[in-house]
Amino acid sequence: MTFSNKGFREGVKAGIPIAVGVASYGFVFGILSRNAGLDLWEALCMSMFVFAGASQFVALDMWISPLPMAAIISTTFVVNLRHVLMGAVLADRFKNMTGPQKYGSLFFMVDENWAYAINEWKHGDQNATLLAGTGFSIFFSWAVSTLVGNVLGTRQIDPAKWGIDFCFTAIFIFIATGMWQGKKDLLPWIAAGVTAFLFSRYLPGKWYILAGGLAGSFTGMITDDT
Amino acid sequence: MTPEMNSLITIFGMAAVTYFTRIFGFVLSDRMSTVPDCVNRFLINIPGTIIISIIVPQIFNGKKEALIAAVICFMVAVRFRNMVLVMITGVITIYFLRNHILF
Repeated sequence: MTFSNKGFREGVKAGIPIAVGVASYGFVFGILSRNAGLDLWEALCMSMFVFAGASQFVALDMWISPLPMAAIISTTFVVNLRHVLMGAVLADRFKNMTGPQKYGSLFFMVDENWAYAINEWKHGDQNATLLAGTGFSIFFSWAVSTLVGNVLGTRQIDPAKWGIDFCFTAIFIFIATGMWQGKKDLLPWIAAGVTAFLFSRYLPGKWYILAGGLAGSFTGMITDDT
Repeated sequence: MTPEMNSLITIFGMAAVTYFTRIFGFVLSDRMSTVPDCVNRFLINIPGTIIISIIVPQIFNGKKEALIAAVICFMVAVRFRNMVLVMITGVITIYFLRNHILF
C-alpha cells in the first residue's frame, strides 16, 4: 500500500461522483440548519468538524432552546459508533503509514468512501490515499453545500420528490455487489439484513446499522471456517 | 454561559466524540500485534454486513418503489459494474415510479 500526492489526486477524482450525491444532502442540511436556528458559522463548523451526515441531521432534530448539550453529544456518539467497526478494518491497510497519514485519513472516513475504498483495495488497488482523497471531495462538497443551503435557507426542497434520496441506496447496492465473495457471505448477510430491518422498525435513530453489522459479523465468525 | 457559547461547545463536543469513534477501532486493531483468528473472521465480515445493514431498511421501507428500483440497480450493477451508471439508473427509476409516469 502506498501513500502519495498522486494517489491523493486520484482519490479526489474518484470521489467526485459521490461528492455530487453528497452535495444534495448538504444543501438540505444547510436549509434545515437555518430553520433549526443555526447561524452560518455554526452550521459550517458542524459540517467541517463533525463531518458525519446522519448524526448531524439527528442533532438538528434535537436543536431546541435551552440546548440539550449532553443529550446531543451522547446521541452523536451512539449514531457514529459504527465508525469503530469501520476503522478496525483499516488497520491492516494502513500498516506502513506515518501517524499523521493514518489519523489524517481517518478524519475523512465516512460510510460512502470507506465502502468505496475497501472495495477497490479488495480488487487489488494499492492506493492507501484513496480514503483521504475521496473523503476530501466529499468534505469539500459537504461544507460548500451546507454553506449554500444555510444562506438560502428559507424554502424547503424535498429530495424524495426528485429521487435524489435514492442516490445513496444505489451507491450502496453497487458496492455490495462488488463485495460479494461467494456462498460464505450468505448467512452473515442474511443475519445482518434481518437484524438491521428489525432494529430500524422498532428502535429510533441509526442503531440498526451497528446492530446489523455486529449480528452479521458474529454470524460470519461462527460459520466461516476458512 | 451565553447561548452562542453553548452551541459552539455542543458542536465541538460532537466533533470530538465523532473523531474518537473514527480512530478508536483503528487504534485497538492496530495495537494488537497478532490478531486472533476469530477476531480476523469477525473483522472480515464487517464491511459487507454494514453495507447490507444500511441498504435493507432503505429498501424494505413498506413502499414497493424502493424495492423495484433496488432490483433494477442490482441488475445494472452486476451487468455493467459502473457506479455512476447505477446511481443514475436508481435516481431515474425511483423518480418515474414515485411520480407514476410509467404506471
